[in-house]
Amino acid sequence: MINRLTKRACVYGPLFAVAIVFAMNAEMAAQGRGGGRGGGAPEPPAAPTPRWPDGKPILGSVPGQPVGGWGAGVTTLPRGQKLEDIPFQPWARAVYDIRQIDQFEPHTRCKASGVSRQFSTPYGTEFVEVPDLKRMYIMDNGGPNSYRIIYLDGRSFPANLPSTNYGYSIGRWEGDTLVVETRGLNEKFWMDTRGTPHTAQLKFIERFTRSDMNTLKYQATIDDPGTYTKPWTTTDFTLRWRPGDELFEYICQQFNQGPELMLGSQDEIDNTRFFVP
Amino acid sequence: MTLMRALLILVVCALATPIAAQEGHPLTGTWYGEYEVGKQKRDLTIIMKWDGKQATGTMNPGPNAVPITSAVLDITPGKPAPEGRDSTEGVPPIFKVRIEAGGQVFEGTLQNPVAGNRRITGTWMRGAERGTFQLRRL
Repeated sequence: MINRLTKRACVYGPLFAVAIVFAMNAEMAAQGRGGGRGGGAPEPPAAPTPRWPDGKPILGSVPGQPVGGWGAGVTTLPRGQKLEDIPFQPWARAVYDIRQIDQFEPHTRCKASGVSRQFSTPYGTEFVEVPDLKRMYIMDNGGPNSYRIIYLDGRSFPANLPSTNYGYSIGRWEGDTLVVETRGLNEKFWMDTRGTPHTAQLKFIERFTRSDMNTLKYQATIDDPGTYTKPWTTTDFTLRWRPGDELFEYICQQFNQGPELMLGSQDEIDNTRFFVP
Repeated sequence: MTLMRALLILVVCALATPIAAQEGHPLTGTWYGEYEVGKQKRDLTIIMKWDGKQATGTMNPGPNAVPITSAVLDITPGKPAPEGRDSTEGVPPIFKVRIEAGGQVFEGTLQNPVAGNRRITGTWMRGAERGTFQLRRL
């Protein structure tokens, strides 16, 4: 057996070495043509922020141009900050810590997950603005494949809002920044992929700024006296424009066969509960 | 027959109402289980809600409902996994629970505190009486 392997190594070894050298040369040649990250010309500057006739920034696709979407840009809301600086109530910090270990997120079970969680799906998010209706739809592809409505008509929050996964979102413009406040959120979802906790007392304020054609700055303020001792604000997240990124049919269903993809290293799912949460 | 059907609908509604999972405060929700008195097992239902400062609620809702006078969590912090290691290698926090209602005290441990099927198991006492109890969140 060993002899046979030795013979094969002797026969194929030199051929393999030649193939590696050839491949390396090809790669180096490609980099020399500007195909590599380090040696090429810098990317041309992005086009300026597209605007509607009234001057307001267009946050989604530009009429007359190919449809596109925003790539995932929000990972964990405390990103870039020390966890000690996040004003968790003690129970909330413990819940956050345990969610770093038990990553059984509702989104992986097809549950609609609102606010910033809409900007974490690998398939991107599409903004559909309807100026005539004074509203915008934020559609997250993947997961439950659903949408959130942002009302832009100057309305106030209704009294006795029911609690829902997406809540009730009202937006207003502050210069070139769209400020969206969402209330009426329930506790059936995580706000981000890492399980930053919240309660139904949450008021979630988002700031969207399209600084150029390809860049959307996103920042959120979490005002939830049920979970935090005071409101706190995230650092800026950056979402990148993906031209040609169109919504597609995505079927999310229970009992999928990819738990290792959706739950990281957590390889077992406890299905002993009678009702699936 | 009509009475039976009405009762069935009531039971189904009662079961259906609290099944919605929540991911907020670990005590919030409807808990159902039993506690042992000698060799007997008795039903136990506890509904709790977190108002931001304290958990409040009711034991055995209905005509003989008993208000919860105290429900507290005693948390022992965990330890995250070392840098570069798998997150599951972290040590999870431990959630101890103490609930008082109608002179009865329940002390237990919250298991799977962030999972849908979280449970509380432990012991209860009232004067010299004591026994075990277990609750699972609906």
